[in-house]
Order: sequence, then C-alpha cells, then structure tokens
Amino acid sequence: MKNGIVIKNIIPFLVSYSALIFGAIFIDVILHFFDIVFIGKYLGYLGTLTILTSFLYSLNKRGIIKISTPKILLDYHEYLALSGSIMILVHAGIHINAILPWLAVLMLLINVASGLVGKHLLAQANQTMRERKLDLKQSGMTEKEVAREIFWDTTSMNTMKKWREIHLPITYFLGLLSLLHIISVTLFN
Amino acid sequence: MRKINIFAVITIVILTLVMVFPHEMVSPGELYQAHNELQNDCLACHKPFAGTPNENCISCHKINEIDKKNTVQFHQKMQNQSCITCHSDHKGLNIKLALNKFEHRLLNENDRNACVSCHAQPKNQLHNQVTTSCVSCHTTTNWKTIANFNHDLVNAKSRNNCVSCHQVPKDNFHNKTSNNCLSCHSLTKWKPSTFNHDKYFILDKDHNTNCATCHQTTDYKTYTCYGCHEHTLSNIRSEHLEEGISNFTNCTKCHKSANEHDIQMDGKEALNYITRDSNKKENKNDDH
Repeated sequence: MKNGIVIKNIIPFLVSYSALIFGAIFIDVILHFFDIVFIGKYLGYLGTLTILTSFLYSLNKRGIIKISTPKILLDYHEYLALSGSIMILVHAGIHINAILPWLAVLMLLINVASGLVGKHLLAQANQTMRERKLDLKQSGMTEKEVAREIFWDTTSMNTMKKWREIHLPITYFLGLLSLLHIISVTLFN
Repeated sequence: MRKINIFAVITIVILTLVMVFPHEMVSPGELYQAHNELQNDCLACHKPFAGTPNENCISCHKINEIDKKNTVQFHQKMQNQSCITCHSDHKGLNIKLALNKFEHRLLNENDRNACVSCHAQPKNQLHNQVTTSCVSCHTTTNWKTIANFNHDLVNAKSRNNCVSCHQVPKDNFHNKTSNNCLSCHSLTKWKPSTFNHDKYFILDKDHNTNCATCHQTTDYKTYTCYGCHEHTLSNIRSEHLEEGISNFTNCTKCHKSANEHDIQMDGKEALNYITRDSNKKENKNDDH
C-alpha cells in the first residue's frame, strides 16, 4: 500500500517539481553561456503575463467570464501557470537581493507545488468517480439511478474544495508579493 | 467571512513588513562604502517612477572633477549615457563590485571609431608601421584576438620587408635563404609556401615521395639520390664512368627531372664539373 502511494503519487510529483526547477536552472545557464542574461529581465514580464492569462480559467469557473469549457481552460491553466513559473524562476535567478522578491519566489514555488497536488487530487477524484460508477452499474442500477447516486457522492468534491481553500490564499499571497515587487521596482528602478 | 479574514491577515502582515523593514524588504543590496550615508535615503538617487536620473549623481559628482586625475577626459565622452549603465551600486561595500563591464557601444560613433582618443598606440615596431585604423585588426570586445589582419595596413616599405615584423624561422632550410620571403610565401598565408621544387628537380610520379627520402638531414640544401634502390652507387658510377664523367656527386647539377637524357647545363660549365675528381670531398650539393 505504502509502496503504491510512493510510486503512484510521490515520485511523479517529485519528478514534475524537479523538472520545473532544473528546467529553470538550465535556461539560466544557457543565458549566461551566451551572455544574454538581459533576457531574464524580460522573462519576468512575460512570465507574469502568462500566469495572469492562466487565471482566465478561474474567472470562467466563477462565472465572471464565459469563453470556453472548463476542461479546456483547466488544461491551459496548468500549462500556462507552469511555463510562466519557469520564466519567473529564470527571471529571479540565484541572485540574493531584497527579501520581498525572494518571498515572492518562495510563494511561487509553494504555489506550483500546491497546483501539482491539486492536479493529482483531481485525477484521483475522476478515477474514484469512474470506479464508483462502474460498481453501481454492475450492481444492477439504471443509468438514471447511478447518476443520482454519484451526485450525492460528495467525498471527492469535498477533497477538491478543501484543497482550493488552501490554494487560493497561497495564490493571493503570491499575487500580493509580486505586486509589491513590481511597484517597488517601478518606483526605484 | 473566514476566507476574507485569511486574505486580510496576509495583506496586513506583508504590508506591515514592508513598512517596518523597507530597506530589508525592497533594497537589492548594500550601497558601497562612500554612499553609506545614503543607505536609507532612496530618493537621494532614485526619482519615483523615473529611474535614477544623472542629475542626482552629478549633483555630487561633477563631471570635470571626475576626470581631473585622468589622462583621458573619458566621462566627458559619456555624457549621453545614464551613469547607472556602468555604476550600478547596491552590490556591496567594495566600489569595484558596483562597476559594470564597460562596453564600447556606449560611446558615440566618432569616439568609438577613434580608438587613439582614449587608448595610446602601442609603442612597438609592428604598431609603428601600421595605420591608426585599429579596428581593421582589433575588435572592441577583445584586443588580443586579431580579427582581420591585412598586410595592406602596413606601410609599403615594411610590407615587403617581412623580417621587420616576423622572425626568420630557425631551421636549417631558412637559415640559408635570403630575406626575400615573398618569393616563396604570400601575404595572405604563410603555409603553404609557393616554393617551386621544379626549379631544382621535377618531382614526377616516380619521385613523389617524402622529403626525407632525399633530404636526410634538416639542411634542405643537401640531398642524396642513393636513397632508393633504383639509383645504387655502383650503377651510377659505372654508367657515368662509361661516359667519361668522373664527378657525379651532385646529380641535379645536370639532371632536372627523371628523364636521364634531359641534361641541362651549358657545355663549358658541364665539362668543368663532370671532369672534376669526385673523390674530392664535397660537403654539400651546392645547387640546392
């Protein structure tokens, strides 16, 4: 059982998370090698815009805008948030400067980790739902009965709700720190 | 309600930190020692939303005074640039850490092309003979790597006198040559030389071999034709004595190719040479 969790959940999470960090380090090395470090500055702008674009999913989900199906937007949300995070990590580099931007980077990493956990929980919830549907069908329930039963099966939905309660404040924390960083840089550049 | 509380707490904590510790939270690093008194006075250098204008630097550092001790009035030439392009600060107490790498692209075009307006021309024989167009050979990123040296830049007198810049190679072959390098080498490439061996002996298909087969020492003026089985000493001796030729030590004196009937010598010199006693010791083949 324990081995199953490690192989199915922990290792894929660590691989994705490490790939993100090493990807950023690799790009940083390339920029230094070709003496084009100035690009890192612009990756900060681009990364911020990319992450902001990923929030279209959140706005759509809350009914503020209506542009596409949640599934497609969720895919974009994951992809854009991850690629934007890599750009911001390259932008931050490994230079030890003010605490504020470092806190922002720290929150970015925590946010990415939280996002990856959410992605895993969602995949697990979908899997549980599929298995439950199959069980109910095999027990002789009609399609209508199965649908009603699943509707009341709120275990998976509750898990996602709980995760969201943590993910949102982390995202807000990141947004606030980033905003203060942008203001301070614009003010004293 | 609980959600709003969390967000409010986060906001208050962060804003409090920024306001209580603005320097630690926002400053990208310590100023260098002489700027220490400005450590908490950001606006002494920075203008809100307008960067770091030169006026704020010049209010203390007068341009004329900066270059007072310098031979070259360098900062005068850089007035169109922002001071922080080179002097970034916030890198620690040591002033050297606050100095960015200088790039020639920051200079205006006139100064960028007039290297001698800042740099002294090197005082050596080579640079005395060339024009002042430094960029014809050097780049602004690396002085030592010669980009495109062209001998046309050397004045005409020195251009034909290679040894005024280059040393004569110290091998036995070049020891015995004249200083007229251009008769074998070109101005664009040292190797390969245009030395014409045919002038001495045509290297046809039977003689297409390593130099060392004939030139067995590093002195290329000496050679031997007895290095291959075709020309044994006894064969050569009998063939030549038969013709009344007693001196056959320097083959290329008469034979300029593999064709043994192609003898190239005027009659009188040939007679003097071939009838000389070959037993007299000859150190070198005197024609090569």
